[in-house]
Amino acid sequence: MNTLFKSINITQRVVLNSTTTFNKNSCRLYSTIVSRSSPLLNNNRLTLNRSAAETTTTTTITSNNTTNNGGGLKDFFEHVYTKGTYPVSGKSWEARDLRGKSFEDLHKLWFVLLKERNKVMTEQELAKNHKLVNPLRLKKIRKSMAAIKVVLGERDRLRKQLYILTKCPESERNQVQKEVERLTKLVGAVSLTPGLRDLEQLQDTLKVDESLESSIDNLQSTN
Amino acid sequence: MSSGIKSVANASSKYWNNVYFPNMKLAVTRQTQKTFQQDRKLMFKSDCSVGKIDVKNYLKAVYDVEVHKVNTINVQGRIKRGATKHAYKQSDYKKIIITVDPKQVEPLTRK
Repeated sequence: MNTLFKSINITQRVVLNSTTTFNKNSCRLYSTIVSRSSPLLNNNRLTLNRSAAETTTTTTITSNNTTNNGGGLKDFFEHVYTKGTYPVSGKSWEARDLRGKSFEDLHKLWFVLLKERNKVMTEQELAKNHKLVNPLRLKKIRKSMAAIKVVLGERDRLRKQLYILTKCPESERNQVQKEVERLTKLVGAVSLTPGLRDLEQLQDTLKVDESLESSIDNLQSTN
Repeated sequence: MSSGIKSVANASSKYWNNVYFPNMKLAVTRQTQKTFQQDRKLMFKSDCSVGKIDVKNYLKAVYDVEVHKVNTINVQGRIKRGATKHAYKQSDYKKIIITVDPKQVEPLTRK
């Protein structure tokens, strides 16, 4: 858990008289993201509530997580920095930080970053000569959003390769199999079809090896 | 007959028109937050591809704000010329002016 907290990024900290204070809203959202244990245990949480989405004739944006946390138009504005204070940002999220996370968590993080980007861009727009105090923040947000897309892309590619594996002729089978193995190692034990329980049950990486589990239990009982 | 088609369209759009990872940029411009409490209006700068209904849905979903009215203006980027002959064009953008519900008017500056 500590290592996860180290990689919490883009939270706006105001350094004021050598004391650090966290932005409360960001921290609340991050704590929901971080409070996640092993992906094997949390398959039940991967539910995508599609029925809750609004129905209109044009595109609707589904953010089941953020509707309750929406803080109004105030979220477009940063704190006012008094003289001598400046916003500090941490490390950006990298793909290797995000690979173990479920779809739900990535979805939450996307909206946190989206709001953060709007906030920083507003600050840039309203600043004198469009100059940010800490311009690297914008780049870090962009990189983090890109990392989310990288991780989701890997999962998507694996799903497609698994489909191709069932349909491809024998001559190409080895090549596809290699690609599948590579991507399986990369993606790990994460659901490829979030919200679809029937398909999740077919996924090999999500299955628990019961003999292994029982042998671990035996070891613990003997010790 | 038409109502039947509409209901089918609504039902299908529930599944096919959802955006799970919206990537819309919105930034407040022209210091409009200072006059927000008087005229309930806020001006944003965004990409030209953004539509009025997109803005409404986006602000409802992400910021939980009901928007009554959206006005948009397309602005062409200015051509800049320096001391040399080299000239370049700034990118085009869209100005978006929203009018919110009187209940949701609040001071926008933070402590």
